[in-house]
This record gives sequence, structure tokens and C-alpha cells, in this order.
Amino acid sequence: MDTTLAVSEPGVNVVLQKALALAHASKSASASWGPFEVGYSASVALSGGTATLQNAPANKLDLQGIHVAGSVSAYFTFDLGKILPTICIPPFQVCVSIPFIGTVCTPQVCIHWPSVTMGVNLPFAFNLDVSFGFRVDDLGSQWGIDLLIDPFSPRFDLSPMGPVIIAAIQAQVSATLGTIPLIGGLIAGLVNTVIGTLTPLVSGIIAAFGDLINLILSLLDLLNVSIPFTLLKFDKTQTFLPANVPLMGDAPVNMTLAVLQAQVLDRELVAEASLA
Amino acid sequence: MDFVNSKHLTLQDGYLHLFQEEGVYIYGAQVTEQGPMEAGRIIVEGGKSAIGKGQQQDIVFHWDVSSQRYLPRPQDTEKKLGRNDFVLFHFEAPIPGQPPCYILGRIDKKVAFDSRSLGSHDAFSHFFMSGGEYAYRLGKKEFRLNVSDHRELSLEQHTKMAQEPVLIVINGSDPSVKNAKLVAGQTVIWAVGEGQGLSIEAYPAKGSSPSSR
Repeated sequence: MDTTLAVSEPGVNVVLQKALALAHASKSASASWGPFEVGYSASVALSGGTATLQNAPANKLDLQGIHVAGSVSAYFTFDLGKILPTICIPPFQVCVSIPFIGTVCTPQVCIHWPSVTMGVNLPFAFNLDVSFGFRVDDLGSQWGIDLLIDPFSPRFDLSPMGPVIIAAIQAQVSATLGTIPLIGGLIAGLVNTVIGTLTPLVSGIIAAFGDLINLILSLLDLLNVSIPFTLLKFDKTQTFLPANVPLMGDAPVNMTLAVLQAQVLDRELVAEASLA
Repeated sequence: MDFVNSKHLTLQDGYLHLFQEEGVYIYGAQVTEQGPMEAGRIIVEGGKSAIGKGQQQDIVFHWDVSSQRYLPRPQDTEKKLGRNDFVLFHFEAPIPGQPPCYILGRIDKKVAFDSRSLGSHDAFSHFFMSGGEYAYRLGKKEFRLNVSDHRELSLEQHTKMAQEPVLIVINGSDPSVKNAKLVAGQTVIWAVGEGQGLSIEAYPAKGSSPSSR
């Protein structure tokens, strides 16, 4: 090989931290679980993490402890009429004597249960470890040293969101039902009915949130398993100057880096090129 | 705030008509002028009650989704009354999407009663579900209803008040109670002693902050 370019492990960290600082994305989705319609969006940002280089023949870059933080904003809409039984109030009939009509007893009124729309913000954070291989790519007028992420399955636990969702819906339903007169004694039971309908569905809702977070992660350039992430790139044509004091007639020479190889040696990312 | 309008009856409303004349009345709960009219018949015959001593009968409508019209309970399709008995028309369990309506009755193809136009011995009732300062007009004058939120009272106080309907007797354009105070969960009955072509159409009173439900 005619020429060598090396990037130290701290140098690789600097480059990767710049990439991580730009790694943020958001996406939204919606679905129904029983009577609950849920519109949800998640935003994810990456930060931190430490890159270590593994010498050949492994030729790997391990990026450990990437901090993944973000939040899921979920909007729940549900028609209480699809969950609660019909209740007619008042529980007693009220009569009044009207001289020119007679004794009039007022009708019971059956409650038209309202729809509830409420939002809940659910923050999350977890750490992620990933590994990359290297690949040299011909980018036309440039060479690129790309990172190829190994397929990964992020492990994170969103189950703490369950009680938060249930508590938020419980509070909202209580507040909504509290506005209806003469059912004060029934509210606790009615809220329990709603929560009883919701509880078996919560795990499915949270799983959908997890799927969305995974989707967002997979769309981030650095973590995309389908699209290589270009860590370094440089022009194929390089200008070489004489090593000593230039003499008359020693003009700079443009030479082409014809072939490039990349590997990790002594915990440095080393690119070696043949000149043409 | 509640929607209170005797021209557009909802689940929270009732319309009462006193039958003083014998005959066969055809009635219906109409959504539009063009809708089908006959929902049932009221046959008034005999009876010895004096005005004010008649018996109440109820006709209860439900919204029929397939025919998109209000239908009475089967037992209400033919009602037999004596003179000076009265009928309270109202509604049963809510069906999503059911529209407001008005009650129309005819005898010999002539309008005998119309909830949009309250006359002598008619009544309109509304069960208040939400608080607020309501106003309505009779003639050129404005009258008010101050409806407190039930959560401002203890359960016992509220239950006691809810068992006492508010009766407002209207003669001409003069209501017996000018500024009524009540609580959500109470029913107001506007009964017309003397008058024609009246309606109760409430709106948020000026200077009030409508409470929301």
C-alpha cells in the first residue's frame, strides 16, 4: 500500500458524537383497542455512548451506552356510551301539582354518556449497545468508510407506562362523570367499569408504542440496518507536495487513490490506499 | 350549558298537553316538517274529571335507527284518555346520533297541539344537567335561571333539592318566577296558564361564564 490514513479511537468518538447529536426523529400512528381509539406519536433522540475499536480480524466498532430518550404523546378518545350501561336519573320520580293541569310527575332522564378525549405524555429513556462492521464504498469522486450496523434488538421496558395511562384515564373519567348530577354514588363503580375495560388492553397499547419507538430507531441514519452510515469520506484525488523545500520545477502532483482498504489496527481505524 | 329549547326537544325535555276535547288525535315526534307524521293515536272520550283533576299518561319515544324516526313504545301507539287527562311526551334511552324533535298532534287534519308553540294548559319541562346562568325571553322581557353546579352542595343537600321541581306558571308573557335559582339535577316545569304561541328558548345570560360539560 502506498499511503495510510488513520483515525484514533478518540477521533472516532468525536465523529460519532457529532452523528449522535443529529440523531433525532419522530413518527406518529393510530389504532383502536376495543372502544379506545388512540392516536400516538413518539420522538426519540440519541446521545452519549462510547465507541471502542476492536482490532482485526474482528474489525468492529462497539458503541456502548447510547442514551435513547424521548416521549410518547398519546391521545385517547372513547365513547363512554360504548362502555357504561344506560343509567336513568333521577332515581326518584318528582311530582308537582299544577292547578290547571293536575299532578304532574316528571320523567326520568336517561344519561347520554359523553365521549372523552384526553392526552397523556409518557417519557421514556434507556441505554442501547450496538456493534458496527466497516466497509469501503466507492462514492464516485470520493471514498467512503461506512459503518454497517449489526442487526440489533433494543431492550427496553415500557411497562411503567401502564399505571400512568390507567391513572390518567381514571382521573379524566372521574372528572367527566363528576359533572353529571345525581350519579355521585355511582361514579366509583362506573370508573371501575371503564378501567376494567381498559386494563386488559393496556399491554397491547404499550406494545404498539414500543413498535413505534423501534421503527423510529431503525429510521435513524446511524442505526439503519439497510443503509450504511458513512463515518469518513475523502476525495479520491489527493494533492501531494514534495517532502523537502520545493525546488524550482517541483510542482504539486495530483494522484488518485485507486484502491482502499479499512481495518482496525492498534485500536485505530486505518485506511490504506494504493496510488495510481 | 344545557341546550334548552322547547322547539327542539331532547332527552332532557318533556312536553305536556292537556286534552279537553273528545276525539281521535294522531300524534308524532317530528324531526322535520317533511317526515312521516303518524306514530300513534290518542283517543279521548268520556271522563268526568274537572280541569286540574285529570290523570297523567306518558308517551315515551325512542329513536329508531333503521327508520330514522322516533317511535313510541308499543303500549303507547294507542292511548285512551278521559277529558281533562293529560299526556307527558318524553324520551327513553339515548341512541347515538338521535336528533332533536318536536311533538305534533292533529285532529281531523288540523293541528291540535304543537310543542313548538305552547298554548294554554301546555307545559314544557327540562331536567338540568349542567350549571350556568341561563336567560330566556317571553315577549320583550328577559328572565333568568341561575343553575348552580351540583358539586357546590353536599350530597344530602343536593338530593333534597333534586326532589323539588321548580314550577314556573306563565300567563301571557308573565312567568310566576322571574329569576329562578336551582341546581343541576333539578327539573323546571314551565306551565302555561294563559297564552298562545309561546316557546322557551334559553341562552347563556349576558355576563355569565357558561360552564362546560
